Amino acid sequence: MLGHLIKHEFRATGRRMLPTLGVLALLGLLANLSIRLLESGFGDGTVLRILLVLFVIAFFVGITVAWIMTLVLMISRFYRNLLQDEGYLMFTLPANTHELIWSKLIVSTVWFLLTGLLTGLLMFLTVANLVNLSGDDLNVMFIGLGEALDMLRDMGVTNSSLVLLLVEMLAAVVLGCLTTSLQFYAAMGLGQMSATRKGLWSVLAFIGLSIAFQIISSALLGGLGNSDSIDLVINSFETMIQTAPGTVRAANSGIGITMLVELLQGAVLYVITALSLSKKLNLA
Amino acid sequence: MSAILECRELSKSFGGVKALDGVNLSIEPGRVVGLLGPNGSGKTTLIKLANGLLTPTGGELLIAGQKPGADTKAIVSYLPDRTYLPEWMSVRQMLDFFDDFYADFQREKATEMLGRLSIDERMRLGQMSKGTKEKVQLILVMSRNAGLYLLDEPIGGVDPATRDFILDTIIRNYNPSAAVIISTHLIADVEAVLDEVIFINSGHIVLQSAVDEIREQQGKSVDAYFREVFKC
Repeated sequence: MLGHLIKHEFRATGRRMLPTLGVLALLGLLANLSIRLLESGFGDGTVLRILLVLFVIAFFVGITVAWIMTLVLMISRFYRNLLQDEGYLMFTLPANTHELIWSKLIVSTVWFLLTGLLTGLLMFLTVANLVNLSGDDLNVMFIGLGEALDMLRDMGVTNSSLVLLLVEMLAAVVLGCLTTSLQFYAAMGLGQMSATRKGLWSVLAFIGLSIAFQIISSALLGGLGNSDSIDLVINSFETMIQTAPGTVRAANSGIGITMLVELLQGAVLYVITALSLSKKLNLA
Repeated sequence: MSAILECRELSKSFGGVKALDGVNLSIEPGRVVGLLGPNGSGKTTLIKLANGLLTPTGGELLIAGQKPGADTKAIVSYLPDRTYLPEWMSVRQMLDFFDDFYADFQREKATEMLGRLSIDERMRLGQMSKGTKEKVQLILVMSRNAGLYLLDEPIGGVDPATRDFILDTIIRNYNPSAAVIISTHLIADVEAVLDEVIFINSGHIVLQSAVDEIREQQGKSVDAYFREVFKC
């Protein structure tokens, strides 16, 4: 059932996201073309040069719009598809609440990642254009990267720890996307329980959840700071970063701890979302 | 025969207001049942509870012996009292949707009914009139070979010709071994198709009886008897 839900969620969101990403890609290519033309001194006329500059500005505006669009779509799909009239269709499908939530989570995470990937790629192209990066320069960069990796290996850093670091970073990004979506979902799940002004209550729930997590993390950090354990942690990190393998290990542990905190936050938000939709569903 | 829908001391409150209060009832397969009551009597709440769209405050509701969940939703075909299909979807996409999610969906049957009404499958729901949207919804719901059909106000707010089409579609297409529950306050229009009626008022079941019994014992139509029971 989850597969079908994901398929139809992609169908519903794709009609908004594919054109958005397509336009962003087009703006990126136009901006890069403009940069090349401007640098080559193409077009003596001021009007043409202004037009080229406008393309570059439009690209940066496009990036902002694409991110806002991805965020708004993630929120509006959950709200309209589950908590308004369409909810009468979705909640009477032979699927459980977890499948409904996961389909939304997975699809919005994919769109976040694709928007991020496209933005990154286009930004790299733009910067490469601005600094006149040539194919030879790219070769030098890759050779430099290879040499740096060789150096790290000579210093005792293993391939597995580097791969682990890369996997951890990717997992942290995915987890970040999931937790961000879940914070909005949990707020809307709580807001829909109200008989009236569901939207307003959802906004208040979002603010409330943000404040609650701030207080909890501050309290935990404060508690940790006042205990002896913080010295142990700092000492062990200081010992680790004396050597290259230790530094990679420290980075592994640092990202691991951050992910653990995020995972706990995500789990709490997921439970709030699932309980509010399964035990306290209150469709208008 | 075991009940397809059973309520035991079922209650539902919204804040301090009791929408259903200790409801006990049992509906067997093969019956067309009218859930009749004035506005605000608890009809929609009962149907929403049967669909798992609300959770009971007390008591329990069982569909084929199970609490509402993914398994019961596979055998319940539900028509809500509103248009609930996404406006951006075409009729063909809705057919794909029902085909994907409901194992008992009979696509050929739906296509045949749409064809009879000359509804173009490429048309988007957002392009249709309210009446056409309601017909598409009904066709989708009645094209399932379900065990229980829950139809909430299917003839509310439609013209007499559409009303006839809706009732005809229901009677021609429901699975004969299934139960059909039609919630309405327009009794005269549905009376002819009902086997059984449930009168509900202020969250209480006032009466559950076969239509023939009412006619024999009261010597009047269900509509006339309803007017007598719910006289203001």
